[in-house]
Amino acid sequence: MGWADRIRFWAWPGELRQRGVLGINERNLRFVSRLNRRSLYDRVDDKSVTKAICEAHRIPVPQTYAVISRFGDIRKLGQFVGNRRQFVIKPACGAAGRGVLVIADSEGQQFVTSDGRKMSPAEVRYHLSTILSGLYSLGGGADKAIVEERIQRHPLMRELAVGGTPDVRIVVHQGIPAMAMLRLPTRQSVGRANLHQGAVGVGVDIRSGRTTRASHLNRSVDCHPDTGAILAGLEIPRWADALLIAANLSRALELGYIGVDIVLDAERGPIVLEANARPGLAIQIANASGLLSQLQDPMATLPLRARACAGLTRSP
Amino acid sequence: MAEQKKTAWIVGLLILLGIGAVAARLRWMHPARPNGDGAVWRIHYEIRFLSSQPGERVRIALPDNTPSCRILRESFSRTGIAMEAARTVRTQGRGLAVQGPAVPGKEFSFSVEFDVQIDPTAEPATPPKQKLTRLDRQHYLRSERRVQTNSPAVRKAQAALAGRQPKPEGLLRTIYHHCCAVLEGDDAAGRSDAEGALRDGMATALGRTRAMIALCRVSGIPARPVAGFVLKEGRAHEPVAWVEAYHDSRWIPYDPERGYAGHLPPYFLPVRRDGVEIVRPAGQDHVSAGVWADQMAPLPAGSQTARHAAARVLDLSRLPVGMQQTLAVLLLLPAGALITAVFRNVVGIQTFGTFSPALIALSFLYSDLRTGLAVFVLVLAIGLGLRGLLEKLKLLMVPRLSVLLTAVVLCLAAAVSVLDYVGLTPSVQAVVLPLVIMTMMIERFFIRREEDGLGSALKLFAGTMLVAACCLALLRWEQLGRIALHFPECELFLAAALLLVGRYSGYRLAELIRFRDLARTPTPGG
Repeated sequence: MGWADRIRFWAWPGELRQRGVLGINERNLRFVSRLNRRSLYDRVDDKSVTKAICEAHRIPVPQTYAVISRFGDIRKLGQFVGNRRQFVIKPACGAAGRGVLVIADSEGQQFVTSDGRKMSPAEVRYHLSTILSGLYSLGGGADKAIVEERIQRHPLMRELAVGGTPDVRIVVHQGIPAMAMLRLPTRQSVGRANLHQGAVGVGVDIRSGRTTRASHLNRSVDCHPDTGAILAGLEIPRWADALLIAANLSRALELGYIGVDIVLDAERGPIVLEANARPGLAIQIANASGLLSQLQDPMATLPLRARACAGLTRSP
Repeated sequence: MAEQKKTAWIVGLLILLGIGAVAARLRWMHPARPNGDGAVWRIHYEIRFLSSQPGERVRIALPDNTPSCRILRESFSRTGIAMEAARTVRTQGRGLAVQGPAVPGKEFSFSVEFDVQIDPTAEPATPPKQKLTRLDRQHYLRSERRVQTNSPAVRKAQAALAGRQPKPEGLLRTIYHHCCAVLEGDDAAGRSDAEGALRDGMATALGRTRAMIALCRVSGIPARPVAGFVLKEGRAHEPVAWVEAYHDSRWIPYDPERGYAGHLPPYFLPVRRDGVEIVRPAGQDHVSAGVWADQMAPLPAGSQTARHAAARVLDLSRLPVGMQQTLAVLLLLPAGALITAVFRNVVGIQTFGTFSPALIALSFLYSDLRTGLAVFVLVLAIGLGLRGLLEKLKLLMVPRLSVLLTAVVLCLAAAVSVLDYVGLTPSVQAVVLPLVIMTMMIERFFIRREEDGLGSALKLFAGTMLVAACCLALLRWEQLGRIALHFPECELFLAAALLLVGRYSGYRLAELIRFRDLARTPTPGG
């Protein structure tokens, strides 16, 4: 490797093409707009719809305690939650983790959030009303609030996390998992798992579920910028289940190109948080590999679909 | 790919259609197309001025259609000049107020052209009945620097004439006769003011006109000068002046120089009433104006059919000047959209909103770039500060945006007032357009900063301004605006280009940088 290769400011289009890198224009034209019907977008834009579809297809999701869509129902929160001490409130149409309230404990009348803040029931009810009035929804329109089970993080994830919950993003193309990465929140991303906000993306070998290499802000890194933990060579538990869940969700949603966000529960294993109809392209940097080489001609992969359904993954 | 093929077909079709339409226009449409007999004249205004006086406007009078003169076409050139079309209050004459940016010592030029067709068979119309208010009457009886109604020489001449014919109608005819026949004409030795002309008995063409106005006014008959053109072969085609006198509730035209009373021949084209200068302020060293008329080559026979008259709808250059200016800019907006599309989809520079760059460019079009930018950044900063305070109140979206809009409106109002105070009055277009864009930019900037940090927001802002600057350069390109106006079918080419960008599936330039690490690392697992 010469010096010219080590210090590079750009790549030539031919090089990227050769490595099978998918650009955003091509993603939109060839994959998103052809494989995802616009009329079905609601299935991923509204998390309550996604969850309903998941439940109908026996795909594991956090247990729903209530979907609140009317202001009158806000005061019934106590009934919905019952005597559970932990729960999560999130907007159905929110994006990038905004408006999510994690209640980690309830002490009598007081609630305690996951970052240790105390909240009165009135404050929680106010938060619910701001969600319903659309403060966090993408278009700013009226929204629904989902009250659901709090995921118990898997021990491995607890070690890696800095201020948030890591998740696994799997890009599914025509029912077949094509590429995966582990997204780790950092101090810079303030607990959120979005790569462009500073989270670390860790490439995951799609067949073995073993992490390969990592990227931070579009550049390759070896260890976590906050903890210094080595990120390559980790084994993601119950990987086959995660792949099966992602493939099944894609077919249940009838969307041909999606990103599925999965979290690992300590007991239940992989659980679907949400799906995205326009999955980002940074997953290529995390894996140091182009998506196009994975997204081959759909006709050629037809026999593979059957295997994906059976919980197997694509062979090289 | 099916979409690829379909798009290619439509692009080809659009280009063919565009070429066909341009060719058809070049072949069959002439810019000046009369639909009757008669000569066509082209009137030129060439105005140069030094914009040394901030806030000063140059006023230009424009002709209106008359029963015998029809304006076929108007065209104008503009270079960084703000202009407003307006009618004068008292005489309802059409006019333009032109104002250059206040850059001391810089010369601006501005030209207007009209094609006017004379209908020689038109019946002279009787002037309509008009009421004069007391103030108007006082105005038309006033004494002026060169129409000295209180001068003893004028009063003496009027008394001599009134002694012969005390009744107003007879007196008017006597005054006209006196100015037309008794005063001797001499362009070299004659006087050009009323007092001098009546005292010496020798007058220039203008002096004769002024003498008649002064005599009318002393006799209590409201009178005013008219500036215009005599579009007749064998005449000097400089603007000339004649008189209108108010009698029997009508403004009756008199031309003592060329000898017409009561009715003027069809080839008289009035341009400005109640004044002899077509461009004001004239004669000052920082404004120079050339105004003249040329007769145009006769049009080919058979070009006067009704079919062609209807086809004029397709000719945007026949519209009034102010409308043309607006249309030219509007027709360039799709080109701005194309620039934005190229920057976003081919280069990969992100902007706030899809059309904000083009609309921001539009608002800068008529304002001085430095003041415009200063106001823009100032309003943005104040808006962002306010938006930060609003965040604490946790308002719902629509009321929150409305509060921001209110703040932006207030800021712009304050900015306009301050600019006016220091003598840099911005034009109306520069103020109204960016309101909503500014509001949305503040909101998006703030949300972006909250979610992704200040750096990301600033990057987006820089991208927006870069694209806006390119759009501005395009909108300022005068020739392009003229082409768009004369060949609106060129929009078809733009649409074709937009379709091509819409099917561009290659890498964005920014992606070549973003994915640069992918080009060197080996594929995992071989």
